[in-house]
Amino acid sequence: MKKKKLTERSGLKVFAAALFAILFSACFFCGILTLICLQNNVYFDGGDELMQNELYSGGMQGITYLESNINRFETDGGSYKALGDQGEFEKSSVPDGNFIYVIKSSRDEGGAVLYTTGSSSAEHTFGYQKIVFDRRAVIDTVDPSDRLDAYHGFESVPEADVEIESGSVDAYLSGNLMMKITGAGILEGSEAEFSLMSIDPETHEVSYSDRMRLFAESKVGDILPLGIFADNPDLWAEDMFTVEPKLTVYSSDLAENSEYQVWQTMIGSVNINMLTNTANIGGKTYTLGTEEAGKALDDYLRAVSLPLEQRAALISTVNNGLCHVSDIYFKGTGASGQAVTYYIDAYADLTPSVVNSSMVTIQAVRMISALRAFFPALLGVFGILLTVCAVFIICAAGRRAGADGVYLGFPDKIPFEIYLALCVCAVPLGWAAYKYFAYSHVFTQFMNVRIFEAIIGVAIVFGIGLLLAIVMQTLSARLKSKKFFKYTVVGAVASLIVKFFKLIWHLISSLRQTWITLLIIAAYAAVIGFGLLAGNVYICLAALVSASFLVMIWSAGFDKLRDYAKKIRDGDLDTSVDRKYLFGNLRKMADDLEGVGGGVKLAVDERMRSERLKTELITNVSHDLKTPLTSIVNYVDILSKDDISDENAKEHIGILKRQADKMKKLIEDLVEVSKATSGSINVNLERTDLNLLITQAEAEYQDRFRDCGLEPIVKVPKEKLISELDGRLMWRVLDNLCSNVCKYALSGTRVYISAEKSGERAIISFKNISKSSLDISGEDLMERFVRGDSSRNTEGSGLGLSIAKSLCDLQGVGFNVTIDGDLFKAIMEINLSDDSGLLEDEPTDDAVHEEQAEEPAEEADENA
Amino acid sequence: MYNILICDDEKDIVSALRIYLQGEGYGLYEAYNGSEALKILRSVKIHCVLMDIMMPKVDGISALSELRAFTNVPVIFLTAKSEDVDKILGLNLGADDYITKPFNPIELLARIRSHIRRYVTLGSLPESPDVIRVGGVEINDVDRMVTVDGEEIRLTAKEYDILYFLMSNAGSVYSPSEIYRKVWGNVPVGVDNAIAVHIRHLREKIEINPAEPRYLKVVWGRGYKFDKEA
Repeated sequence: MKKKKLTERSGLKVFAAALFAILFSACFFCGILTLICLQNNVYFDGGDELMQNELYSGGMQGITYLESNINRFETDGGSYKALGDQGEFEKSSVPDGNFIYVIKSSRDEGGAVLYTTGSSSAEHTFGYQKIVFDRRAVIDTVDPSDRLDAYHGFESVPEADVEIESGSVDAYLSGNLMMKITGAGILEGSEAEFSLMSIDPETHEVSYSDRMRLFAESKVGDILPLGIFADNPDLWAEDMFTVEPKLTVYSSDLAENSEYQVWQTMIGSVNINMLTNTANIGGKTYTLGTEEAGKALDDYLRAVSLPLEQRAALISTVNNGLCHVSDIYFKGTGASGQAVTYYIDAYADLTPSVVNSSMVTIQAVRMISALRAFFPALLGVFGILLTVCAVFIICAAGRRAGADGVYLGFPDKIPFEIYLALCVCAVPLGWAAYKYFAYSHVFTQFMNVRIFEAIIGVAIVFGIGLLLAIVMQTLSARLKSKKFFKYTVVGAVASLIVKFFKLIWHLISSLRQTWITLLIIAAYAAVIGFGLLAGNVYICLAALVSASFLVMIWSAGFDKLRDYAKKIRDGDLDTSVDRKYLFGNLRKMADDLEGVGGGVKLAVDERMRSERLKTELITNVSHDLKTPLTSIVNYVDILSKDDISDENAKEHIGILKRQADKMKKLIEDLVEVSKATSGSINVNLERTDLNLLITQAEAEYQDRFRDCGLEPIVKVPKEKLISELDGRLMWRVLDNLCSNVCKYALSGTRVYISAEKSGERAIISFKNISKSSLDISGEDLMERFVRGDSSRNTEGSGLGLSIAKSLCDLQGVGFNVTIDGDLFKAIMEINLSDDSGLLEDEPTDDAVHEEQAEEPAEEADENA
Repeated sequence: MYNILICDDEKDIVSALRIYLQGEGYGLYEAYNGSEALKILRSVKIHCVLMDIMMPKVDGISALSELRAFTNVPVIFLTAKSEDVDKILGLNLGADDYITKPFNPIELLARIRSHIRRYVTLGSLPESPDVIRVGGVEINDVDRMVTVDGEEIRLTAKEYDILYFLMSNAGSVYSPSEIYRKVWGNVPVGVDNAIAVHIRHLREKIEINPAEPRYLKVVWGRGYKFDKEA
């Protein structure tokens, strides 16, 4: 069995398509990672102590710890330990009367800043929402500048005030924790999100929960139950013992394009434009994320005094460029026109529930950071593999073992438009996937990733890759097969239309010519009528001209057909009609005529073939007959020479001899006649002098005529009769006629042999008186094996006249026999050459020399 | 004594030929196919070969081309194939004569005799320019003598003149008028018949079979010629 080529293995093709999709996905993600790395190349480096990347990882637990215990400790320093993070914190004062707790995590590069107000009951965590805690766990107010989750599209509600009613731990534990709406900013459709952490007093198990509350029809003053949350126990370590309800209120009335309005912000005298990705520092414009920008900002910050949070925001933004990872405050306009301070936090909730995944994030970020130099390289490698895979798919398309040419499988017969539609759909999907992966920090913040979304995203990318592979395969197979349009809706519709028009054309062309002509005349009448009505003489003129043209073309075609028909009539069967200018019924007629010609030709050829076979048969048979006949003739001859005294025997031998001779003659004639009738005799037409021919023949037969008691009378005209004939064949005709005369003419009569000119023809006639009465027509006499005497006892085969006629036919000579009583007449009509008579009895030297004319001339002179 | 090789696969024909030829006093050798004939030809001095064409093993045509490699003995094809093509093929291959079956024994004997005589005396070129020889016909203008295969032929004065004229221009065709003008030296008027009769008589004298002449041929409707290659 023949080994399959690589390109003919269908399994390999499927594998290649899958590989293509995988490589495509790989390229996609590598490309995105490369882009992220390019955009955020400062991001992982930090630069300012305050903006350590792991601000929230290393110092996170410190912040949480302080938040939880600040009132209790009222301390200037201490240590903390929670959730695998431990370190020290130190209190220092800042100019505006607030405090900063600098938290130093024991982890590498760990650390955070806790920014608090001067009051003991209100702390502000940097980069975090402001929540008021106290021992009684009463949530007092919500900061007006509360956060906005940028990519969730929520806007904080500035004036919302929510109070926890009966906010004691006991109340909470007993399930009576209630929330009272105290502010007026909560609009219909707003949501309140609050987190509750609880610890079981007995088991010390901690529960934590995020809840959303929809203030659907709530009014100020309503008291709403917060409910009891005792699920999700596995997050807190035993040293966390405080119930920490916190509340974030969002509103969803942010105008859709608010996101863009806020991209420009001014902090201090630094103007940051997120749209152009530039920062204007000290009158100079820098590209965000560049080293120069970082240095300029550094100088600026040394010179001015800015609130720490603004300082942090600036450093983060300027260093990171279009960074979604940094925290930044800025002012914007809400949908309802109010001034809003936005806070973008790409880290989202830093609630305890996500701390662990935040760790994972940090690790992932570190890994990505370490690998970022490789992403372009990886992209290159995957790109090359992808190209190789694509080349293989294109080459293998349409190949199949055992199939000649291009094989089109099932996927290649689906209308191509479906693939096109899929591709069109794939474009926005791909764009969405790109945006999702490029901007949603999938790679830097796994904690925010919703697994389901990510899977869908990956699936879309893979699907697009697969679609590309399939489209590439089927497109190249279709193009290779050169039947691209066959399996498209457009192609199918087009072929249907073509079929329809063909049908119409067929209907029209099957009409008889009369009807077609009538239709054409009607059409022209309509056009001319329209032209007359419209008063436009040009329409009429154009119609007349085109009609004349049509008639001309038709007539030309008709003439062509007539010529062809004439050719067929004249026996020229090998020609065909030139179909140019022939259309419609004329073309059909040409087909019919050719059919007639072909049929006739076939019949003629068949006839010729059978005649030739017959001749061959007769020749062979006669050859086989001649061999035994030779023996018979010879031995009869030998016997006749023996001295035989018996008279009877002698007589019998004589009979044998005569019959053997007759048989010999018969066989010869038989071969002759079959050759003559089947045309297998070569005819060499040469200029022949008819007068001379007759004289020569008469001379040959002079003695025999005399022996038969016949008196030949030869009459030839004075002028020369020259004709194109084969002298040898013509002699055989005359030979047969003369020998017939000898055999059948009445002894003692005269035989008239004459030649005369009659117009362009010469008439040669033989006339004699028959020995026996002839009750048979001349026509019959020329048939084979017919003789004047029905007894058939005379010598002769009865083939003589038949042979003569066939030989004459071969040379284009008319041969006819008539019988008038006992008068037998053989008449030959011969076409004379045009210059007959010009060849006078003049020249000698330019006599016709048959072969090597020059050589014997000298001998002749010498011997003369 | 001259030796004749008879080669024919038909035994009856061979024995008939033997009967005829024995009477003439020839030495006879018999073969029944081409290879036997070649064997005999290589071992015995043969003066004339009579050969059939269609024979088993080696046929006459191949035997002829083979024997022509070592001998120029006269070969007469004796065959039932009477097509012109066959004749031309045989003669072109180097056969000296071609006789179709059934043959006339008298003609056959005459031809054999003629060929043997020419074969034996071959090589003696005409002694003087007055002697013209074409094939077996020799004409000596000095003593106005004509011999065919060595035998003297008696001709009338005009017959001799005609023959001399045609022989000295062997191969060319002449119309009766031309012949008359050359031989009689007169303006020819209605001489066709006279010339034709003369030619016929000439033919009867020099040809073995006047109906199938080898030398003096009628070119029908054009004239007469003395064939150069006899």
